[in-house]
Amino acid sequence: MPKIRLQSCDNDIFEVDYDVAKCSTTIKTMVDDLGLDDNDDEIVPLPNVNSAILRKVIQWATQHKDDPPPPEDEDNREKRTDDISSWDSDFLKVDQGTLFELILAANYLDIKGLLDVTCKTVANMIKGKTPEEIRKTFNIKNDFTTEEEEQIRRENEWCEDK
Amino acid sequence: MKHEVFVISPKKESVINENEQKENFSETRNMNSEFITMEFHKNMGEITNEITTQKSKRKAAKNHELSEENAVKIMKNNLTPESQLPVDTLTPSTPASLSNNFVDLSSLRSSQLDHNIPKKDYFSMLPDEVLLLIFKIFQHKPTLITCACVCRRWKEIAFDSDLWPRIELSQKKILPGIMLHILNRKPTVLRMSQTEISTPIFCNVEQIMENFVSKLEYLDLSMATILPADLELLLRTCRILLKLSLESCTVNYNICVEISKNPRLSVLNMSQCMGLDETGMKEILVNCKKLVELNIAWTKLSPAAIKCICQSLTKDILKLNFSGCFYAINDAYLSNLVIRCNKLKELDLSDSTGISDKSIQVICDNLNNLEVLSLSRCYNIYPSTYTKLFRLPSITHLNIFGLFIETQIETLRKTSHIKLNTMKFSYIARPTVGHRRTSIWNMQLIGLILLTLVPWPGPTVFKIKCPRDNAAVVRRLIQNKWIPVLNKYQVKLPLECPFHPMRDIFYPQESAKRQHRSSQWTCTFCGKSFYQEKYLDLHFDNRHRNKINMAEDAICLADYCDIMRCEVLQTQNEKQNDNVNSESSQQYRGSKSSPITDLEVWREPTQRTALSIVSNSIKSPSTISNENNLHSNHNLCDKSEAPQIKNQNNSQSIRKCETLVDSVVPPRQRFIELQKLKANCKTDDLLKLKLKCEGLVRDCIAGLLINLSVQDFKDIEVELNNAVCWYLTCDRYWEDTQSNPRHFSWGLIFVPVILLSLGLTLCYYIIWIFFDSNDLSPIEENTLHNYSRYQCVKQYSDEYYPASDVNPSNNHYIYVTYPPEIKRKLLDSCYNRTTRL
Repeated sequence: MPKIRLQSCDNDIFEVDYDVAKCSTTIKTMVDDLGLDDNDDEIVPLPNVNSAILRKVIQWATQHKDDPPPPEDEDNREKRTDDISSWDSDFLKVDQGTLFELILAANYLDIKGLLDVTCKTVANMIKGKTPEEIRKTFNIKNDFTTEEEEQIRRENEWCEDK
Repeated sequence: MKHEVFVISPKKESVINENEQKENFSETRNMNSEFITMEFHKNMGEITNEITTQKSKRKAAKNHELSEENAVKIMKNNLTPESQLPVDTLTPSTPASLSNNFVDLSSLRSSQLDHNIPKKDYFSMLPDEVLLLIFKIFQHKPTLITCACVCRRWKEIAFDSDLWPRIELSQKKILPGIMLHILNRKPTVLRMSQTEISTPIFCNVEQIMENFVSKLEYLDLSMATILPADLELLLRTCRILLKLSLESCTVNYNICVEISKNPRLSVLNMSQCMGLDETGMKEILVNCKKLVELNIAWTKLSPAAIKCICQSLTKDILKLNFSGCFYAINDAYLSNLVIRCNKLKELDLSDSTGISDKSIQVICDNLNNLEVLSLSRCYNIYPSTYTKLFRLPSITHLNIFGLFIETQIETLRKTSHIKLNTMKFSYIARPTVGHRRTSIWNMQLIGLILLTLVPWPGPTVFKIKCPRDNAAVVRRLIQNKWIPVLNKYQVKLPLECPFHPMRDIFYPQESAKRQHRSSQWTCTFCGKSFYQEKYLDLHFDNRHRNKINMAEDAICLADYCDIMRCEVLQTQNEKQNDNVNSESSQQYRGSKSSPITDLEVWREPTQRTALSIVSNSIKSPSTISNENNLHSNHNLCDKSEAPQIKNQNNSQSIRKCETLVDSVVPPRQRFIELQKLKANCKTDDLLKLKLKCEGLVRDCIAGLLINLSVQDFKDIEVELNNAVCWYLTCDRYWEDTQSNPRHFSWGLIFVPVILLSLGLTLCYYIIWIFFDSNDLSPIEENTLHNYSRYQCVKQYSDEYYPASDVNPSNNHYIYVTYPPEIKRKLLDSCYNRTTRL
C-alpha cells in the first residue's frame, strides 16, 4: 500500500497510508495531480496545520478511512446534529482551541466528514443558548448597543415559533 | 511504546481499554500523568537530542502564527513541561501507533479546560465561510436570530441569503412593516398560505419601490389575508417569479399587471380569486408566455373573459383548470382553446354546464397528449358521450363526479383501464395539496417540524374560525330583537352595520337554508333535507365549507359574543331544551334537596330558614334545571329577585342572592362560590362593554339618519340599546331576554295528550266491556256462545257437504259453503272469539 509523507507546519513528518490521506480532498487532488505516488523523497507540505492537529486529523482519518463518501449537496435535507457517532463525540471532547483548529484544518484539507462533525459539535454548543450565554461560552465581545439588539429581535419576531 | 508502558506499569491495566479509561477518567487522570512521566523518563535518554532539534525547529516555524500560538498556549496551560516534551517528540518515527496514545493526552487537556471560559474568541479564527457552514446546520430559524444578536459579524453572516432560501410563514400573522425584513433575507421560496398580512405591508413605500427587487421565485399566498393594495406592492418587488399562488385572494387589474411583469412565470394559481376580469387576465396571458400550468377555477369570469383566455392563452400550456365556469364557457370557446393548445396534459372543466357533446368530440380529436380530464357535473353532456373519451390513447384519469351513480361507475371501471373518479381535488398549479402538505410545488420545505404536528386543513378548507353556534345566537338575537324595531319604523339595517345579514360570513349558507316544515330543513345547494337545523349546519360544514362569504367585510357574528351575551343566551336555550326534563324531574329535585337540608340542619340549625326561602324560590321559576353550577345559581338568584328589584337596591338584592346561594351550596363550598360570584361580575368591564355596545349601535344605524327624523332615530337607538346593551350591567347580565316570548313547552302538550289518549282507551275498553256484558243477557250470551261454537263445529263438519244436508231444526239459518281457505280463516276467528268470551 503506497504511503504518503505529510509535513506539518512545525516540520514534523507523518507517514500515512494513501487510503487514509485521501480522506482529504486537498491531499488527494495534490497527489493525483502531481503524481507523487511511490516516490519516497517527495513530501506533501501542509503549512497551515501543526503537528498536534495533524496527528488528530490523521487519527480521525484512520478511523473513518472506510466510510462511504458523504452525500453531496445536502441542502434539501434537514441536517441533524444529534447523529454524531460515539467515537466522534469522544474524539471531539477537546478544548475549544483544538476544536476550532480542527475545523480550520478540516476546512483547509477539505475533509468533509471531519468538517461536518466538528461544525455540528460547535453548533450543538450554540444551540439552545441565549446570545449572552453564547458570548460567554465563546468569549465574544458584544459590539451591539442594547437598542440595536432589541431592534434585531423585534424585526425578526416573525420567524419565532408561536 | 504503548506496550512498553504497560510492561512498566502493569497494575494500570485499565488504560488498555480506551473507553473504560475515558469513563473513569477522573480517577485515572493522576495515574496517567504518572505514567506519562515515567514514560518520559524512560525515553528521555533516547530522544534528548531530538527534543532540542524539535524545539529549534518549532521556533523557526513560527510563520504560521495563529495555530502555533494556540497550540503552545494550550500545551503550556495544561501540561507540565516534562509531559509536553514527549508529546511533541512522539510521532515522527511511528505515527500510527502513537496516535492512540495521544488521545489520552488530549482528553486529559479537555477535561481540565472544559469548564473554563476560553481566553480568546476562537470564532475570530474561523473564516466567514466556515461560520456560514456552522449556521447552515441551524434549520431552526429562531436559533439564527439568536446568533444574529451575538455580534455584528455574526449578524451579517446569520442574515446571509444562503441561510434563508426558504421561509415558511403559513398561518402566522405578519405585523405592519415586517414584510421588508422578510424580503431582506432574500428568500427564493416564500410560503405564506393562510397568513394574515397586516396593512401597511411596507412602512416606507417610495424608498422600497425605487430599487428593491426580491429574489422570490416561488410565492405561495394561498388563502392569505392581504389587502389588494398590499398585494400589489408585494408583487411589485417580484420580477423573477417562477410559481405563484394567489388562491382565494382578492385581486384587481393592477395586481394582474404586476403579475404579468414576471416573464418567467410558469405556474399560476388564481383559483377562487375575487375580482379577476378580462383586462387583467389579458395582461397576464399576453406577457407570461412561459405559463405551463394555470388554474383559474371558480373565479366567476365573464363569458368575454373566458373567450379572451381561450383565444390568447399560450399554446404551450400543459395543465389548465377552468372549472366552475358554468354557462360562461361554451363549445365554441372551448374548441378554440383545444385546437390552439393541443399539448394539454391535464384539463379540468368541472362544473362547466355550458359545454356539450360537441366539446367532447373536439377534445377527442385534438388533445392527443391528454392524461387527466375532469368533467364533473357537466350536466349538458350526454352520459354516453363519455365513452368516446375512453378511446383517447393517452388518457389515464377521468373524473366525472356527480354524473353517474356508484354502481355505474363500477361497471365503467371494469370496461376500461382508465382510472375513474380518483382525484377529488385538482392539483393543477396548486402548491400544497394532500400528502405533500409540507412542500410547496413539490419542494420540501425545511424546518417545518412544528408544522407536521399541526393538523393541516385540506385544500378546499378555508380559514374560518367562526363558531357557528355562537354566530347563530347572535343572528337569532338580531333577527328577533332588532329587525322588528327597525320594521316598526319602516327602515332596514344599513349595509355598513356589521349585523347586516349580507355581511355574515355564513350568509350564503344561511340563505341556502329552507325550512319547509318544522322538521324539514333543506340545503338548496344540493337539495338534501334534514330533520333539524343543526344537522343542516353540520352538512354545510362537511360539504359546502367553501360556500361562505369571502368578501373583505365579511363578519363573524360570533365576534360580537361579548356584547350579545352568547354564553347566557346559549345556556338559556339549553335550559329551554331541557324544560321537559326539568319538569319531570321536579320530584327528583325535591328529593335531592332533602339530604342537603339534613346536612344544613346538622351543621347549622339556623340555616333552616334560609332553606325555606330557597325552596320557595325554586318553586317559582320552574324552568331552572337542576344542575348545580354557578351559572344556574346566579340565574336563580336573579330570577327570584326580578319582582323585587324595583323596590330594593342592588346591594340588597346581591345580599339576598348570597343567602340563596348559601343554602343551595354546602357551607364548605359556599365561601368559594361567593368569591367566584363576586369575581365574575366586574362592573368596570361591563361598563366598558356597554359603552362599546352603544357605540356599535350608533355606528350601525348612523346611515339611517338621512331617512329618519331625529326623534325617530333616537327612539330606534333606545330600543336597540334596550334589546342588547341594557343587559350589560352586573345585575342584568345573567337575565334571560328570551324568557319574554315564552318558549313553547312541548312537554306540557305531550304529557296531557298521552294521558288523554290513555284515558280514552280505558273508557272505550270499559264501555266496550260494559256493553258487551250488559247488552246481552246471560241466556243470549249463552246462545251466542253455543251458536258460535255450533257454527264453528257445523262449518267444520260441513266442510264438504252441501247445504241441503242440514238438519231441518236449523232451517232458519242460512248455510253457505265457503272455499276452504276462507273457511279456515273464519274458523280461526270463531275460535278466538269463543276463547275471549
